[in-house]
Amino acid sequence: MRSGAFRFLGNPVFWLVLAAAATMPLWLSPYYLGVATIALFYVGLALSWNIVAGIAGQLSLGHSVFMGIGGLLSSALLLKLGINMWLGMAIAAAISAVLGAFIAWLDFRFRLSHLSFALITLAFAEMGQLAAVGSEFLGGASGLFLPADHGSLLDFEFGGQRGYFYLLFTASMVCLVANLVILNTPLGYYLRAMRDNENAAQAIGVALLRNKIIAMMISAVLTSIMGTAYARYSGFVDPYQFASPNVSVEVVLFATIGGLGTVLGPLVGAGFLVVFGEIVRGQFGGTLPGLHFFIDGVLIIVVILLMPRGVVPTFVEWWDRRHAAAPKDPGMIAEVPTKT
Amino acid sequence: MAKNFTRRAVLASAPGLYLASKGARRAYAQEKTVKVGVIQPMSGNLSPYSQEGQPALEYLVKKINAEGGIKSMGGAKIQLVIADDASQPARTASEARRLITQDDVSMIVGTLLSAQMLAISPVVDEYKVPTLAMWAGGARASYLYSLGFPYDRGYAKTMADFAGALGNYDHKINTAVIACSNYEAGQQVTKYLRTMLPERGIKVVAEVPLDTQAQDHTASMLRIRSLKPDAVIGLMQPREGILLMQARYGMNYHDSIFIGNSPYSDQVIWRELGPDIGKAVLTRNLFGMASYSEGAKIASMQELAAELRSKGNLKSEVGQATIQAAQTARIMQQALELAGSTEREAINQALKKVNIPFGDPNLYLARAEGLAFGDDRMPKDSTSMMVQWNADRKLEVVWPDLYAQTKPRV
Amino acid sequence: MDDILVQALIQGLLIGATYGFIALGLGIIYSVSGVINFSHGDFVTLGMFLCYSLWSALALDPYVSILITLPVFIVIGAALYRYLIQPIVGVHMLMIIQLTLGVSFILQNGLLMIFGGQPLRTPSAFEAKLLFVTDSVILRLTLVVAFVVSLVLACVLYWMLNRTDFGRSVRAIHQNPRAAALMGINVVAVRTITFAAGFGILAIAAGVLLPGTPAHPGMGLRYTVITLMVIILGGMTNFFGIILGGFLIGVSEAIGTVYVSGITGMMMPYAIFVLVLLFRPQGILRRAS
Repeated sequence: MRSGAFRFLGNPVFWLVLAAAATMPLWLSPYYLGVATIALFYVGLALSWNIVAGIAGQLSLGHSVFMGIGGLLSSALLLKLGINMWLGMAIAAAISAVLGAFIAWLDFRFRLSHLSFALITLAFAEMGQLAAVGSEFLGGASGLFLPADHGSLLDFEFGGQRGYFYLLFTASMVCLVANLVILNTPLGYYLRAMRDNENAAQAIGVALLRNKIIAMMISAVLTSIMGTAYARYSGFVDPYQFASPNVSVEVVLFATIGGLGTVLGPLVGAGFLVVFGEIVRGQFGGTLPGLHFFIDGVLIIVVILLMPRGVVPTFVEWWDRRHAAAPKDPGMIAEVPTKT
Repeated sequence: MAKNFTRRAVLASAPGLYLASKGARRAYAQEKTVKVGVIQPMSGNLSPYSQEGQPALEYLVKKINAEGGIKSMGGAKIQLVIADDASQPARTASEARRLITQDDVSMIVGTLLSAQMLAISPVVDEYKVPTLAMWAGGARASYLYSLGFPYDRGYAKTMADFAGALGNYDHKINTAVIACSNYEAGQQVTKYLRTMLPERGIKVVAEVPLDTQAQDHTASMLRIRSLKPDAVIGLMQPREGILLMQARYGMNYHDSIFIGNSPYSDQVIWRELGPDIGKAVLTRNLFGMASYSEGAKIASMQELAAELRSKGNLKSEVGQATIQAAQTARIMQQALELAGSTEREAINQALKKVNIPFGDPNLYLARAEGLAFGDDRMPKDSTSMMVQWNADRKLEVVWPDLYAQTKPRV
Repeated sequence: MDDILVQALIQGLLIGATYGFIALGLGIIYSVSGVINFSHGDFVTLGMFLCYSLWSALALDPYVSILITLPVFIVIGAALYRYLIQPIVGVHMLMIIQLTLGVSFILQNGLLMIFGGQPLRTPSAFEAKLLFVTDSVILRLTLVVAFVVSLVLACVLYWMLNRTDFGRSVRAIHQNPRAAALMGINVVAVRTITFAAGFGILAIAAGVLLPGTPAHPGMGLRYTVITLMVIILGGMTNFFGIILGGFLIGVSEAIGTVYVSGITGMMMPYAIFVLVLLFRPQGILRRAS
């Protein structure tokens, strides 16, 4: 791993932000803590998606399947077979990994274009929702109602809002670390090479199939874990929410606005937009339903027209131009091509 | 931004804390409002419930406040804090969290069908906030009460009993198809109908679950038509009821009797189908469960309907959801009166003791044994009327005999 | 049982023609600019709500309202291209798709804020009339009208693409934009007009689909997905392929849920879609446009 990658560990701003985030339950009101918890969930999702889409260039719109498996399967295993939810989470993650590998294999075997891959994964997402709704074991159309949370950590219970915050905080930090690690190991370079020009990458010896599978598997596992965590947080697992293709669309939006391929991009994108959306909904939801989505739409258009690479890369470029001196260290940023 | 909020909140609550320290009596004297959170589906599939019910709720709360508010709290006025859940259970939960943690409501009411009820239950129990659902068929949280019909003794039993009773009107039902909307309530009701119908001598020939995401139910209707059952029985959400009737019209199918719940007995379906289609399918072979009917001989219900029509600022005709919401307002009022304080625990205990007896002017529903919650936090008496439409778009009660205006048209 | 098959088949064909027609709009836009408009279905919704507004303000039947919505949509299409798409030509395809998704959000929620979430019915001349082919095969007249209009206009489109100079420019740009520009074709102008035409198609489609269909703001996504499936089946730019794709999707939708019960039936269109994308990516008709 590149030593420069962890240079930011010496940056005091980083530690300040991390400390502030980690101690949120102490200084945020319960309402905003709830908002932060949900934001962390989307941050985790965006970061996991970033691994296949931003770094590896595979635009998967089917991640809702992994989230559905993570949420529904682990809950069903607990409720119907009495399997401990930690174990259930692992099982769901494993199944998601296998499914992810299959999808990656499809991409490789059939030499799918970006668009075809996106549409096929979207079709899988729709089928996934139908399968979830149609499966008695997974709760059918009614969904699954998890047992009350008594705080027993061994049973995957976290005792209330604070506990849930830490659960989702940890899970999303895992996704963040995964992104950082990948970007600074050879895997990251292979993936970015594949993303930028698949044929050229293959020509210089990058193992396409293996890398595609690895990236998708990691992403699937992380998404699945986020799904299980969120299932526990919400207490009621609704297939129309957990396996819904709409979640994929939202995640894509957040990650793209933030800056696909970077690490901070999805984090900032998801973090800011989710919080903003909740606040707008809180203020105006009663009188103007749908306002925050409307604003989201406007924001996307504005960002794409003015900052097509995303907010974070554009900002970093601007910042770097102001402080021209040292060469950029791609520790946190990875370039996204400007042409197709 | 969050930091400023909490700082402001601390500063704002300082005087409150000071006053609270002056003793309970004094604190009540300062309590001029009771905050009640209201979660309504203002958009999405369930918006008919909110469109009909919310104006009624607001009107009655205004009336209660005008008549002196909650007397046991020194005339405190009810303040409604409204939230939209867009018919999505995930939103219901997050709106509930917001109402509880940010707006600090003392109790929550709302349309809350079964999926929303399930989503809100963990939240409600975590924060121990008494919640009153208007339509859920079950009450899974220990702090949640529902005015709706329980799946078994409310919906399934009523429909099955009525289907069985049709034999008394020279139209014996021998075969039936169970057609319910494919969600929690639908699946529950299907389960109970599966056993209750054969108990009344009706053979279930097929189950046709109706997809809640579908834009068209022609396929389901085709399957029903191919089976030609004597009756098609089931619980649905408004969308499925409308689409099914639309499909029925498109096939000109009148060989079965359709028995269902409120979508069949609410003005919404006339509005959506239009007068021509409505006349063709709604006035024949169609019976719906109803709490409200223009001709029903329940004085309090008719007076309320008249009052709402003239002063209630209604956006649509008086329908099932209107009366349900109005009744909710009265239960809320009685619970708050019994509680005597804005303490959530007190209100929770009060809800257990709510009792509106038969003949009380505040009882708008047709319940011979009055309105009270049982141990399952559902109404003890869950009887319902069955109605049919006449050509003037008016409902007529046909069953049970206690309330019937006329015979079922079969 | 046979009647059911006939009914489903006919119904599928009728609605399939309209799907194909809408997809043609997306097809010509894609062929000339490479843009996949993910808000296509939401514009259909917009058209429907415009007709509704015209009805509630001026009591116009949707079929008549088309005369008004058509020019409006033509302008919208041209403006959309000019101000939103053209500035970012050359940017990653994903971004352009995102942009159209943003437009979709704006449309859906703008309509939601203005009209509320309740489905709204727009009365029309013969929305309740039925055509009795036989005793048990019954068709809604509005569907038949939509079918006829779609087919007629598709023919007009075909004529335009193959027999006019403008059509030649469109095909030229599709084959090779740079070469077309070198030959003197004003690529920007042609693209603008094509966008305008594509959106005009949506206005007409909305007008003929509306009678008998309650409109609500969220219905656009379904049309977008269907349109995408039709286009892919048809090979993206193959005219007849798209029409055929429309019929296929319409019929499989109608028949699938009747004969294959439950979830498997609902999954069929998607499964077919995936199989075609994998094994026949150039579309069901081999010939490239």
